[in-house]
Amino acid sequence: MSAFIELRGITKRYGDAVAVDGVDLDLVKGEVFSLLGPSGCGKTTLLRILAGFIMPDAGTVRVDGVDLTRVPANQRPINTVFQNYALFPHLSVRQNIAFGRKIAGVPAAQIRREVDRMLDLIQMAGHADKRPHQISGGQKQRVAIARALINEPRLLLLDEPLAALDLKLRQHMLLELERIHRDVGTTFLYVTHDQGEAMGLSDRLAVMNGGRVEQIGAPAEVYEAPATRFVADFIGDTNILDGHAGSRPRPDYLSVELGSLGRVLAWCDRPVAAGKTLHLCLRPEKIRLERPNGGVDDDWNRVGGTITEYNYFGSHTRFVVRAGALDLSVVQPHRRCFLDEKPFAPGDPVMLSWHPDDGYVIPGNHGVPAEAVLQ
Amino acid sequence: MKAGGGDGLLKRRGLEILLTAPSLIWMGLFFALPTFLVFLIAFRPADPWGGVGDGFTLESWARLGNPAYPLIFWRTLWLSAATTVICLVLAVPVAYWLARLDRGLRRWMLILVILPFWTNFLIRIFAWKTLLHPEGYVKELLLFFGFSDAQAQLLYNPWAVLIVLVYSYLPFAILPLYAAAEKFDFSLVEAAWDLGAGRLRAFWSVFVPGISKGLLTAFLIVFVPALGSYAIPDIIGGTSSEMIGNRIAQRVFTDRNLPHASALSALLALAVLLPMVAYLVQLGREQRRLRKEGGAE
Repeated sequence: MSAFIELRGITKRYGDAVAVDGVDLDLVKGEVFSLLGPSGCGKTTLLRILAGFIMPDAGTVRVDGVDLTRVPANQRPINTVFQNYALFPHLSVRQNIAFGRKIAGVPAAQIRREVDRMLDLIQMAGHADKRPHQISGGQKQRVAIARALINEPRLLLLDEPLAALDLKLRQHMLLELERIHRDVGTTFLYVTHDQGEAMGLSDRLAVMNGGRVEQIGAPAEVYEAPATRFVADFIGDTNILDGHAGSRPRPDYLSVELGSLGRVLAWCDRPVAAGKTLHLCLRPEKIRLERPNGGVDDDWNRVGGTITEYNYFGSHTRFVVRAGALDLSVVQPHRRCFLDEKPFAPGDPVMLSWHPDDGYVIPGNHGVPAEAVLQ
Repeated sequence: MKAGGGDGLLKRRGLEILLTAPSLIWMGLFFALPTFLVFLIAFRPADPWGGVGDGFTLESWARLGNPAYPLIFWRTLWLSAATTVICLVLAVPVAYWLARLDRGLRRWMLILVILPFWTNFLIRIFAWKTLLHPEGYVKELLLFFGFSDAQAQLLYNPWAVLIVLVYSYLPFAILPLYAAAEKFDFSLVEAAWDLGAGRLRAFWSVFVPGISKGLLTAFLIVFVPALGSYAIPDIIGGTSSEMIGNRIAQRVFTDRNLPHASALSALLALAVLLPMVAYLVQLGREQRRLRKEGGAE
């Protein structure tokens, strides 16, 4: 089965700089797919190639089997929600939404009906005659989405659509986007540098770095099993510990030499040559923090340390623990009232422990996918 | 506290007046007062020595009934209108192109736009006279390609005046339009493409409305001076292509009849001022309406 949206070997250079470097991507019909990465990683260039604003130097873009690589933007069944909304300031909300349909030559009465339906979808029926400068940022955002969706595109591109909104509104609009997607079922390609947005909204996402895709997967996959050190570092807060591969005491588990922290056990179902350089990726919330004399399950990894800093965040507290020659970030949720416990304080000796399954091994060579190195 | 606030406001107000005073005085002395004087003199009698007599009379206004005037007024109007339209049509794409150019190249192109100003205005007009002359390059070129016959006259007709008017005023149209285009958000053009508009459609339905303020400025900056053209029709046009400016000059320098010249000037000024006042009133009304509606912002 061929993918609904299919990118093959997309490459775009600006002078000597490679913005997008041989990207392959397949989108499933109806999914929300995110391109996630830091600024300059090529995600926006890729979006603009899909929209048709720029032509790739190499590679093909197919939508539903049709090659669109050289088709100009105005003839693609793809619409875009721009980062700054790009609403036409001289037109009313209604005229903005109707723009694409008017160009398509749809009869006025039908346009009116379709716009009304869109206004209902974005819950802005009462604002149809306002100009863009008379509505709020969140409302502009919704108008921009309606203006794109009314054309019933095969693919909706969203270019950092929430970047200009404040936190509260961003969270609200994220739910709104989810609802709209549920209602229309259009395939969404969502470009963002905000991992929270990407994880919360997407069915799948691609993490990009330096013009390449580092990993494609469901949010949980990318979070729990990062393919590269970059992905582990970019998605969420992580302790990345440098080490060497040791023996295999059990199938699917690898003993990892962590230098000053000693030897720990980590889950690893791929073959790794002993002595290989690797990184152990350990999420702060997976580490348990206890007094040194606390009882720990036998098969858990154990490391002693001293608290150097902590920050209380309400839902959790983040500690920095000095263990061996390393500073580890540890996050503890508050299971019962924090105030009942004798709080940990800087200087307290502690015992860190985590289950071997929670330590994820990634290869030592930065930027190369796990499969390529570990064999 | 309150007194301090009031004091601050007073100070700010004083500063405002101080800062705007020079331009106000300048505009008053060199624009408002002369305009008022022109209107005033138009109601005075002419004296036999070329000066202005005592008392008030409508004689000069009655003389505007001169049967030659309607034709000259009409010619002035259509030449100015045509100049404006042609300048805008040429300048809008140039402004678009300039605004999209990369910065280094754009600076050079802007210098090219204002380069003609380095040569004296009159010299440039005489240069056109040489070009359009029966033995000039333009004529020879047209003859060579068979677009003209030996008898055809390129100079001394309204078309020659129109060409030179457009030539002279084009930079004045390009500059304000470029200023507007530079501030224009070109992602709007992309949005229009994205929604299915071709390049021309996107240009028309998004870019042109987007620079409407620049269009208005360019219109005023070309149309108003074009109405008052004097040197160009005088040198290029000859008697068959006179504009009002030529008649005003003639009344001042040949007939030595200042009140008559003033009446002609006043009429021209009214032709410009009345539409502008109407526009400003309309704009004010529009803004009040928007402000009333825009309760959300």
